[in-house]
Amino acid sequence: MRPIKQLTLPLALALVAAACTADSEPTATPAQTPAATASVSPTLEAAATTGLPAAGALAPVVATDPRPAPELVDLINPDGSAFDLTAYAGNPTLLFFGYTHCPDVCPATIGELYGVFEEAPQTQAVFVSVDPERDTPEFLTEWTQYMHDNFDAVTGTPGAIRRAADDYGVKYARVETTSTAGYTMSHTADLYLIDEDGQLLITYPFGTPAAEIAADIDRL
Amino acid sequence: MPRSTRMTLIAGAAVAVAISLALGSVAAQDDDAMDDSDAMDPMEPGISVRDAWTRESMMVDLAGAAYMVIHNNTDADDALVGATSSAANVVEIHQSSMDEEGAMAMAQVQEVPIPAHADAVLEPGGYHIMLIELAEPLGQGQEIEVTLEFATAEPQTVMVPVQATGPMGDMDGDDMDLDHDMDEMGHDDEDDS
Repeated sequence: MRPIKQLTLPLALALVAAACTADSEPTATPAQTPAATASVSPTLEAAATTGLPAAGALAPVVATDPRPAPELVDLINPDGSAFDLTAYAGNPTLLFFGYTHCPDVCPATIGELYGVFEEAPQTQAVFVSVDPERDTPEFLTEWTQYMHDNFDAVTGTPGAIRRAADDYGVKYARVETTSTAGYTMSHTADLYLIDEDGQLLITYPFGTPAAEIAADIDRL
Repeated sequence: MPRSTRMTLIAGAAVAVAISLALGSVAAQDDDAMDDSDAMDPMEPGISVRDAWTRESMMVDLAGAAYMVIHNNTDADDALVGATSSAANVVEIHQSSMDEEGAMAMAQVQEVPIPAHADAVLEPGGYHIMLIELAEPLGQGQEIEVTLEFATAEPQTVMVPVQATGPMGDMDGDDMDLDHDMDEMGHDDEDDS
């Protein structure tokens, strides 16, 4: 039996509330922004504890009828070999779409992933680039050298990445800017939890605290 | 101590902190009562900055982002209109936000409003100071200097500690080696207990 399949959204929210009130495990302590000065409306406790803005104030979505995670066909590893999502079977895996030249949103998500690695070390993470122009296999090879051992990055042709994103309902677009840093990519910043059997179970919105995700993984 | 008693005490402490925060905006605080003597006095006249931090950046090719809370203790609105830093050739102000499709997008902005007697909060997923063309990778434990430019107030230079990659909730954890920030974080904990 896989207990997580019975996890309902209310239960997931209850887990969040528990994480926020437990006095023995200060893992979900608030960020540097005091509540009294937060610039955003805390529509959900989960969002309020991260200090992240309302963009992250949507609740995790738990699949009521989990399906096999779309396989991300035709994507490639930094060494040029074909990416194989099924190789992650046996480990809970968190998948997200982003780009390396993202200075704010993606590093915040990666920070939470590092928290998950600490609390649930069996977890793997896969970063799918939506910016193949800059995220070449060569660039990802260098970048991933600095990343956690449990963290992998993949890229591909623009067409393959678009198909992969569509399979997960991920939206992304290139945005031209006036910035010296060049163009940016707008992108859905959700995290997808895939269980050991390759089932896509939970979608976490941007800003979901590591402690909440790790608690779900511990219940798998 | 029974959990219920402990929770009551924590709740009481939280209420006390909440009240002191509320009073802080209208009445002078007793500095001696606060153990984080390094913390900015909320009643300090003019513009003050607290909780500044940036993230380690492993590659100079990638921009960094600095975050902080800027308080305007004057009767007039002001705005952060620019910044410079010896750590980066180019410093810009950017804002992340969610677009109509639910995607996170980032745009350069000309200013961050700092209303009179209020905070401007620069945080992940919102306003941030982008450090472009880094002089060298930002390493954990370093501090970088960032000079803030305002529409009205005089420029101000703040020291911004570089933190290791990690979850937001852990920022009061072991990775912090700056007493100033640890103390401030400690207060935040009490606020939300």
